Amino acid sequence: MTKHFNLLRYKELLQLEESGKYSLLDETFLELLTYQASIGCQISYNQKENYFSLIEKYLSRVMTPSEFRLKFSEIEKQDSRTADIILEDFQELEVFMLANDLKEFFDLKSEISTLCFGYYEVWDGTIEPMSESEFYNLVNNSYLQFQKAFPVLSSQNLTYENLIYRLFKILTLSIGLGILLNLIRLLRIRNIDEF
Amino acid sequence: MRICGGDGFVTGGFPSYGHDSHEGVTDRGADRGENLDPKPRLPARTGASGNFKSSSSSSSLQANKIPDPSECNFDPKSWVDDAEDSCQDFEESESSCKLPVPINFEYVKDSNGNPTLLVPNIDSTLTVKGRSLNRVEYDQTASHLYHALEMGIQLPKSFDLEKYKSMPKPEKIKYAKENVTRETIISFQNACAMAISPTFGIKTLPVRGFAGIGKENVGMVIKNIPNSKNRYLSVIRNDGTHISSYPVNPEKLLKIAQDRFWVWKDRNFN
Repeated sequence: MTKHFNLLRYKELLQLEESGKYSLLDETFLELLTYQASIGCQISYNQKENYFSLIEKYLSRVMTPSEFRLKFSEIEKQDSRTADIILEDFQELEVFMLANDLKEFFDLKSEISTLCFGYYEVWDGTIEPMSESEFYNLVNNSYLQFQKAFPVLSSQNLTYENLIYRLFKILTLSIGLGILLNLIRLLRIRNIDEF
Repeated sequence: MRICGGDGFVTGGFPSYGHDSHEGVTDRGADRGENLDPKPRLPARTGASGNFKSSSSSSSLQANKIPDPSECNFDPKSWVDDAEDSCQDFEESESSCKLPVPINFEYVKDSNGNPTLLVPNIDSTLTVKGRSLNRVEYDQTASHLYHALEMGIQLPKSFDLEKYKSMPKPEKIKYAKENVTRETIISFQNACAMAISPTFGIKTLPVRGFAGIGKENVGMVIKNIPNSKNRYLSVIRNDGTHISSYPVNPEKLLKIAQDRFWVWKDRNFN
């Protein structure tokens, strides 16, 4: 389900901004921000599989925390650059479509984005930095919400990876048990022979 | 205290000869009024000729007595010498005050001789009473170099950003000072100061906000970036210390606005 980007209203808001008829805390400013943010968010939404995959890779420890933060920021920056170009192109904006569940996606992606972005911010020398485990838990919390909101997309790869991992574990365990049983059997045979 | 102009020249009244201390500078109104007294002050004469210092007439003046004309030194040659000494003193103070890169703000030097930029506070209606200057400090800026590139400041290729990011603040500062030129840090300081300072024709808005898990009160400045939908977001502590400036896209700014301008809310700030 999608809807059109309201170009007419966006143009009005831009004119208001140029005339300086609002302050930062006005609803008008927030409305303009919402319009601008929706474009960037839709671009991210269009490649949400990449975001999911990235988060999953981090959560399954395939990717290091710093790699994850860097990669997440890079994808976001790329989306932001694309959005910046589209926001200048009214012809493209006229036919631009927005997903209905964009807000949910925006909220969840923003949570992780804020975490990644603010992770390195330093306040003063006395404060305790956020630990990696705390960061992991916070990302995981957002991811669980992601899974609920977008069940079709979520963690197909992760399930598959988990399944392989579990199978491998079971296989290793079975082989180990087999070897152990054989050893016990051999020992018993020896004991019987000795007697 | 010595306040220097953005172009490296001494401004804000007269150079204070013989006062090399750079500490104790605050942006409190009363302190500023005292330090920036626009009245001309006589420099403490300790020139090579030493005429004034050693003359008995100066002791007469100190004792509020009319000096004996015989005690006065009317040798015009010595006057010329004094004038030259004074000029040399001025030039020396001027050159010691000059920065390696041009900046747009007045500044004072910290205990290490690095500049602290003094930026007029635009948050005059909402801020703590009496504060009209924000301070962009050298060390604080040196600990935020991961935003330098976003603010248009190039870092050397040898600078290991990932290593730097993982360091605690004191090590960040040390690493920055060892691996980045002073010019680069000052340029970044200037860029941060520009982000919290109004520019004609560019929308710059102050707002009150919060930072950290403890929800500390902070000032924020949001400034439009020309030819972009992104804006600079700056966070300033209530004592006027600039914490950080970085560009945010509309999504990030919207999120911050939705959070009622509460940034870094998951961080373990005290």
